[in-house]
Amino acid sequence: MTKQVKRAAAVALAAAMALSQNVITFAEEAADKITITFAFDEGVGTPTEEAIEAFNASQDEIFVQSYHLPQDANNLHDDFVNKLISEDTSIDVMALDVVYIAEFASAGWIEALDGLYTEEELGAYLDGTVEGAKFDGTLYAAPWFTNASALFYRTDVLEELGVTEVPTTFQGWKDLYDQLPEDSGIDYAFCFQGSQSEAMVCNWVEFLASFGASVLNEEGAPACNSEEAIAATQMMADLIGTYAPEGTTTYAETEAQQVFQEGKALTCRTWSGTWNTFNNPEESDVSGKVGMTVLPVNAEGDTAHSCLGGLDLAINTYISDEQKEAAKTFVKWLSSEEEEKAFCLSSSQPPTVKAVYSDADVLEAIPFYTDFYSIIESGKGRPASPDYSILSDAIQRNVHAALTGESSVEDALNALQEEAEALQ
Amino acid sequence: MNNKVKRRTGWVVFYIFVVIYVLLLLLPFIWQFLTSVKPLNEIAEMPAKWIPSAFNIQFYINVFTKHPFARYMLNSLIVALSATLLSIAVGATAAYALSRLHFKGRKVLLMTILGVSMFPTIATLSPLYLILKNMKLLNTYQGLILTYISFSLPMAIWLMSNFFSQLDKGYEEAAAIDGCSYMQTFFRIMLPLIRPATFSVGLLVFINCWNEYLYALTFMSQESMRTVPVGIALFPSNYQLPWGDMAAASIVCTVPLILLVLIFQKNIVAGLTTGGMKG
Amino acid sequence: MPKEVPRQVYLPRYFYKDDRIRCGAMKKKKLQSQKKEVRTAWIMMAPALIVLGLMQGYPIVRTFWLSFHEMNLKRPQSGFPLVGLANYAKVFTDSRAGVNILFTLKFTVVTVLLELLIGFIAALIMNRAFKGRGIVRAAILVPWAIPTSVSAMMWKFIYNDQYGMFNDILYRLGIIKEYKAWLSTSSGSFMALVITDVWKTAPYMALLILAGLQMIDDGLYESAKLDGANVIQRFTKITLPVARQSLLVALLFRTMDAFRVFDLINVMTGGANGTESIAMYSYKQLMTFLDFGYGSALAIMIFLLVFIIGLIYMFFLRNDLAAD
Repeated sequence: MTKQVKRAAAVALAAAMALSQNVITFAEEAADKITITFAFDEGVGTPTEEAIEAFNASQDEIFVQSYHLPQDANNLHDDFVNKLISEDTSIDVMALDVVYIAEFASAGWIEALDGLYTEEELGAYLDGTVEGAKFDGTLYAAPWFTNASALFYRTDVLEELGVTEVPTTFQGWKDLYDQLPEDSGIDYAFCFQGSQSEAMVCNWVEFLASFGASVLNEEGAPACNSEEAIAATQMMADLIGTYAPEGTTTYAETEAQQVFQEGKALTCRTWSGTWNTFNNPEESDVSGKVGMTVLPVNAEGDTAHSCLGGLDLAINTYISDEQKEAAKTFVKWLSSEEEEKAFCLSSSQPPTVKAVYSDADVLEAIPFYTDFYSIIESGKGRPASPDYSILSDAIQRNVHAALTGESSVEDALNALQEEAEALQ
Repeated sequence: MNNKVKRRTGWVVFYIFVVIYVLLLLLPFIWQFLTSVKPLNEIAEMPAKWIPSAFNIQFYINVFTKHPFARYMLNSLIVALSATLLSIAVGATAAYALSRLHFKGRKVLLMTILGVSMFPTIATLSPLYLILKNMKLLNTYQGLILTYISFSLPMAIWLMSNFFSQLDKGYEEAAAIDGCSYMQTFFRIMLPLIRPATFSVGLLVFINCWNEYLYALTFMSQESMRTVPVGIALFPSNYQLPWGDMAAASIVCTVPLILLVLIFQKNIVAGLTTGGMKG
Repeated sequence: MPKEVPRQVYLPRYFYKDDRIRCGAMKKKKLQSQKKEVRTAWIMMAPALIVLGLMQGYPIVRTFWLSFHEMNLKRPQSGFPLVGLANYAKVFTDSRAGVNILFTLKFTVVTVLLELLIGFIAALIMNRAFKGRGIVRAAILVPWAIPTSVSAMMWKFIYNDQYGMFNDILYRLGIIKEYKAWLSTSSGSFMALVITDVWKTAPYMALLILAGLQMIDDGLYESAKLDGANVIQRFTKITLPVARQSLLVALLFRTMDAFRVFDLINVMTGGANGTESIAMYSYKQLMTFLDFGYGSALAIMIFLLVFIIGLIYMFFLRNDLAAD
């Protein structure tokens, strides 16, 4: 046999192998059940998988199969966009970040859910999360779980210093840090997220809130360069390199958390669900020495507002009516009080149903929920608009330039204000 | 004698240079390897521990037990290997026609093929999704293979027509005199002559396909069809960046490539021993 | 039918003998043979052209078409009207696009030049016969063999100000006094991106050049040696001229890739500190802002810019490949 023949055979073999491998497996799919596909990201992959199993076990009409995506809000968004542009029906239910609801609803990609819940049923959910799932007054998604940030701190350090009252202001934390002895091993008072990313937008919105400012004023017009906003951003920038690591402008959640886990920081601003990681002795040097409190404010008497995140459940508008009904059944089941409780216990994600926060089992597993409920209740969502992504991009670029010192805070916020006004 | 000494010092200098060069190049990879065998609490330790206190294989176990990583590897292998072989086969025939045969529009075609590869890949994502959806090729090996071939072809064709064009005209003349058809000339004479270069092109294509992320993510949504880069991207969760697992996975997924190079390196570098040069 | 091989052809004997037996005599008119040549050419190109036309042609045509429309997916009520060249006019007034193009050009020139230099050296090493070359060859290719999605994250970790390898090594060597946040400044980010890209793609360049080097007949070196040519003379008189064409093709493809850089920067800096490439901006307009009209126009602009770069290379290649 000549080499050419051998080579040709190899090519043919490869082609045949490729063609014969047309495998599409729908695991355990039962012929008489309606199959719906639920797309979600690995951020809460395992607990979601458990919830789906529980649903499938409880059902003899609907079968839910899962579709995993990498843990990254952008990946998830882009993947959904690709599918929905081509009116794809391969996914039925999607776990969508709250900031994208308005955009997807405006594009006509997700099904309106009016009528799925009665007014009374909706009343059981946190107001902010229901508002966030609406577009133009109509409900387009079911609030599944929320996310709020909190300030984690080192209880052992406070004890050592003989401090019984946890500080509530930035100055209070700075003072504590200044009292620390040279050899405490703690290099920073704060660590937070300042990289050019959505995480930084959340941090910035919170800094604004602690100074009484916000991105949009009460009339809904941009107020990014108000006096308070400038002061808040200035302080955020000043902390970096002094009381917070110089690399803060490159940190997303993981990097900031690492600094705290290594015991190098007195406090850390991050999402509440990180509690478990911080208290896992295998990963964290500070396990058992971690406390949680509200975010600091500028002056005594101000209220802190944590930035709310989380995922909503939305239904693809291009699927058949039969699929839609099945999808609605699944969505309603997953967002019920009972399931939210179960999900909260397995994922430690804050639920959207108010009653879960006072549930005895939940409080036993996550004791800090007693205090945490007020954080959630006073939390603020990011502006809900189909153009949120453009606003977020403008915030990311301009505020990041202010944080790195590439431009002055005032210039940066003026530029941001201009861009935000152009969107109106 | 003097010459011998000279030559020997030449080799010593060469080896020192190569060792330093390779070490610098591999530094991040070595770091990645160390990360994959360090105990969990030493990964982020500073000053860095260049010699781990213990040898930890837990991350490697995790890679294969927590995730269907073997399946990811198999998928990647099937897709990348098929795409490479087909690209070479389809590309070599086209390259031969474009570089050695005479017909109108040859230059224009060559330029068009190059032009096609200049288009930013990110803008092709959603149209390609539409095509594959209509052809019912989503979640199939064929769909991804077809995509990869189309992205490898311009480079494969250009490189191989470049090689073909450097071969001596005399080969074809002699073959024609003997009554060989163009196809016969191609398969029996020209293709074997550019064999070593074909291996290099094949390696280029293979690695490109092996590492591709965006298309694999978008076109293969079923868990059982995921490829290695997408599989690794599925490791992190909200509150955990399993850095050790990811380091171990990235080491594991480079192993097949290293093996490939070691197996085929003789072919890659065999070079031409016969007078294949133009002029 | 002449039995002697023409003298100027150095055809290995075995080819000739073998083929003479199997191919059979052929006496066809010249015209007929030309016709056959054209037909054969199209048959041989057909598979490639079909695949390219379908998988690459359609997306390009579609993007062109979209770029003439106002098409913000978030506003389907607009009906996506045809707006002619309005999107292109916007590109020229969009200062962000201009800044991004300049950055991308700078990035492309710096990385491609460095990759050429390092890739050439690596190719020369790989092309040489020495003990342990198998290992060295594999080692040289390793950086390129790690998926970009992983290596970009790995490098981001390496540049970290608290626990990155980069700081550790420089500190141990006494080059820096304290750990630095390399990705927090413009110059630091640019340097970090260049190092990472060169590290990652120099092997690719090396392999492309290596393929060209292999086309060099060893006999040429031998005869040059006999003529008393030294290493440098052999390099400039034999290696460079022969490898020139492969070098240009390698440069062409690398330049086109570098100009479209996307995921490396996306993971490492997210476009911060003035490191947003034009491809990132186009992607943002398309997939994040869902403005398919303007995003498509940006994609076409990238296409045109790369095309111009290609034409410049063509100018140098014209005597080689595109000529008859």
